[in-house]
Amino acid sequence: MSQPSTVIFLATVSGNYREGFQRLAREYERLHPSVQVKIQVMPVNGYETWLRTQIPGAGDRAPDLFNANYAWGMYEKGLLVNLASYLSWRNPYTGKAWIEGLNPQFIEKYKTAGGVSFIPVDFVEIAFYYNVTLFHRLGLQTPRTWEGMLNIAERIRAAGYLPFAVPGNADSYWSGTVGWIVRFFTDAYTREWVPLVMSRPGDWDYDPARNARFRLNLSDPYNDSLVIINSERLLDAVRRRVIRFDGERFAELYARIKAFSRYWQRGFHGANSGTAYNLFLTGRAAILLEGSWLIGDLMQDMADLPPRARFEWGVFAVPPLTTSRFHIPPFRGVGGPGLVLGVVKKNPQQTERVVDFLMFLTSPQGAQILVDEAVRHRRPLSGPMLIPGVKLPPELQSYYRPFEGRGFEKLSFRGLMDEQESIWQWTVWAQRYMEGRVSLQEFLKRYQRLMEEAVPRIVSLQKLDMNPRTKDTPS
Amino acid sequence: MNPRRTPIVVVALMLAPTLILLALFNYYPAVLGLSRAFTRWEMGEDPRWIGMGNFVAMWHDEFLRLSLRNLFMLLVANVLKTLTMPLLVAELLMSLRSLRWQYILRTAFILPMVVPGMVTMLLWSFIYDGSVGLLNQVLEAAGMGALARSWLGESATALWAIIGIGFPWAGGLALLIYLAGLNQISGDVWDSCQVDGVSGLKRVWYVDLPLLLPQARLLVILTLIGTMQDFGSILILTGGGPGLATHVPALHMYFQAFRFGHYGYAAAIGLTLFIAIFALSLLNLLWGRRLEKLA
Repeated sequence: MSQPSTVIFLATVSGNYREGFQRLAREYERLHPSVQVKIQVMPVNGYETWLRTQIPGAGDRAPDLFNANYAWGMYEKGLLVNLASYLSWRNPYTGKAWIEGLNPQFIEKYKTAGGVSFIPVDFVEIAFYYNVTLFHRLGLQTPRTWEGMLNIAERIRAAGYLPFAVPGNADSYWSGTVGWIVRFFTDAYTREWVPLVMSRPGDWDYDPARNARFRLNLSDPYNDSLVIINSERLLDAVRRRVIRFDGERFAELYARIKAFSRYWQRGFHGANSGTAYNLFLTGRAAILLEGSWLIGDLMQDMADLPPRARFEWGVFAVPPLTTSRFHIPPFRGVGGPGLVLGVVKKNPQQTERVVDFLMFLTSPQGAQILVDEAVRHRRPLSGPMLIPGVKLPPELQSYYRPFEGRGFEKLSFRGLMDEQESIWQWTVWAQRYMEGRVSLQEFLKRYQRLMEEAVPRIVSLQKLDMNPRTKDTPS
Repeated sequence: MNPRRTPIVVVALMLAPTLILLALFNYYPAVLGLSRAFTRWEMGEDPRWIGMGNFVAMWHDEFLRLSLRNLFMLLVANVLKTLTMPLLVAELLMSLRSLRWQYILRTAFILPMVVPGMVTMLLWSFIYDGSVGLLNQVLEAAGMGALARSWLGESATALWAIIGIGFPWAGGLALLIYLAGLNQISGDVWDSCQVDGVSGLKRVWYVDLPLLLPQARLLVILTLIGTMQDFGSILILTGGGPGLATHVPALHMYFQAFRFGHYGYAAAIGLTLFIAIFALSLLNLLWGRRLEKLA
């Protein structure tokens, strides 16, 4: 028996696709007997550190394919393959150009320094999970507007149930439910600022294909998805107070969120995502804002409950706000790509072989294997697939529908540009405001100050010269 | 020369690895930390001397100022906890006639010390949970459901909930130290008390307490140091929140260093905490000695 002459090494943390990757590898090996595909599913903890030791220095022993969202900065250092030129190649497993079987908008949106550093396979998004059984019992319909949702919440509360289960600890403000709420609100209230802070002709990151023809259109959720924001213009706008956080716009935004929090459980600041999920699963809370990755777990957990405790559940998208002093477009999503695979730069022959495997993985039959195996082994999917033609079981398909087609947030200001100190300070004051310990005016005053104080720190940390025309070397 | 004495060279060689590691990983970082308190040392940058700049910044740091109030509350509460409940339990144990029961109960009080601190914290976070917590369930069962709340999730109760951890605060090291102290008191002293008709609370107040002052002094020092340095439990349970309700200077130092990358500023907070602990320990030592003399 001949030994395989080529080895493709996929090291991943996407354990939900464990069996899918294995079957995919065997199928590929069957098609290409000279190739061996090694799959290594690794724990998230330590994965990034491992990648940072393997990819730059381990030569041929480094993984060929990996979860690229754990390797920020590696593409810029020339360690990963720019997949842009391969996108026009014919995918032998579909007979069409590779890009035609992918999601071009996602690929364009998540370009790194003008190049394609990874291929997205699926994406994650948030939506409201609700107790259908309870809704039927109370004669409620899924809401069409934000205001309608609050009316429903009032009726749920009057019936003796908790309307919303919300985790409110510091983690939630940063990367969980409260953070998501603030993000989709902020996006809706600040979309008008995109033209103000986007790259302009002459800027180092200006791309005419993406920015030249952009005209703000609030009725199109994807209108600005490809627009490049120039961080120095953004910082300058905050520094010069062209963008303000203590004005009427943010006053209305935060007043709305606080009004929404009247329907959350008491003392939500002490709850984590597990507590909130427990409230929903046990039927005490009617609605839960969660990510698309929860579907598999919820199906499983519901099946594990004693029959009397089970209930029918569904998902509805975040409904649009219809009453505002400002022109507020419908809320958009705050998610992004889930499984993203990058290719490590080795030699051209190896790259071609790895790209061929990636083409197989992202073909409808390849991606279908991932889905089928995940479903068969009762593993949760992260969210809807980005490969056209992949079929989900009908039940899953209906659950995923509310997660799709809403666009993605552009500007988010819980803290400035994800700078940790401003995020922490914002969390402190936002929690105090939500708890009623400081007034809205006091909160906004603090918000304005903490955002302004973050500007010089970010400039120093990222070694920016505040001239958008020059590309600055990151530290 | 004593033939049984190990040659100094061998002793030095055997101690050397420990001493070198101690110097390298304990003393060097500590001394370095002290010197770096006077520098601007940010993540990815070389430290730059700025004199008292970090200390001036501390003076204007509103978050640090607000955290001092919490620390003061914790210090007072923890010292009171250390000085009261373990002593009470130690006295009760000593008053038991049956040595067998004394031993069993002493073991029962000391045994929880083997539970890892992290497990204890997670247990208490479950007890305080607003939705499924044990405390709320007990309150509801007792007909006091109106008092149920998210104990760690509301500013009004979060710090008190942290203080309440370990209730009834009777076990552990403090109990052992008090028991050791009580055991040191000569039986003659207690016999004399009996002869003079001094018993019960009177004996505790006039005889035991004055004789336990050295133990109490040690425990106060340990509590002060522990309270000022500890932020792990708060980090796990509340992260310092909600808002700043449970934020303490040591947690502020941790955030400054490991979340925000302001190493120089964090070192300055560390140095200040060190000076404060040292000063409080010194005061405790001086006052303790004076009290002992008076006693």
